[in-house]
Amino acid sequence: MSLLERNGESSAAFKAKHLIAHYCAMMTFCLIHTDKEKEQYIANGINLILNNHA
Amino acid sequence: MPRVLNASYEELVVKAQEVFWINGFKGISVKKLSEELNVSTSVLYNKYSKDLLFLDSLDYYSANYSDPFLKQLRETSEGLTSLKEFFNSVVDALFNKTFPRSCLMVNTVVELRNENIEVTQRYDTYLAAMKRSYVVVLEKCYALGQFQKQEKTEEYAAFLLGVIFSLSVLYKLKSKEELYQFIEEQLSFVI
Repeated sequence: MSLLERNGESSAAFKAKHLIAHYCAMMTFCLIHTDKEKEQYIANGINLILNNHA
Repeated sequence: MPRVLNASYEELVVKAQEVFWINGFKGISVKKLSEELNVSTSVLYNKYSKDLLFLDSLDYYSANYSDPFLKQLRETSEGLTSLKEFFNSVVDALFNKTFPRSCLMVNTVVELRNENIEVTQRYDTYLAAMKRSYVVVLEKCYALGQFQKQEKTEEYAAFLLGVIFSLSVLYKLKSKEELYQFIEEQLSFVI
């Protein structure tokens, strides 16, 4: 279990927190982008948050 | 007796930028803006329009806030540590009111979106400069061995573009220490 925790926070909670932050960023940042750019930025962020952290 | 224009145009822009930063563009009327700038409304109707002052305020903001911040970042040499210090200094500026109300450019994105082509051009310049600066630092990170996949540099820079936008929202809800921690964790996604 400890391998899944970071400062007492589970990996799922950690990633959920950053997905919320990604949501905040995209709700502002993506207001000025095309649909294609929005999809790219959203997918890029989700991919990094879910896959680039042990 | 109408007030005459005592200040230079540059001085008006400096004051107008502060006013727009606090109130946004739509949040202030020409009448109120003229009061804040201490000029007659006729000056704003006949000589310097609210639109013109707003565009020049954005340019002033870029030249005096974002550009120097980004130049400093590009000149750093510590890679991820430099990125962390850069984002932490943005948090400090948000909390100590160097940035009186979030980031003027982020506020403008939220308020005006793509309503005005001249404003949109300024977003493009701002975001391109920011992304270019992140790429410069990420290349230094790669050279320092802080991440392995050089081909991911553009992807990582695009991800980091979102951090300023997240901070501009989250500083209203979270403590400075929580945001420092948040930055460290965000950077962990690019290593």
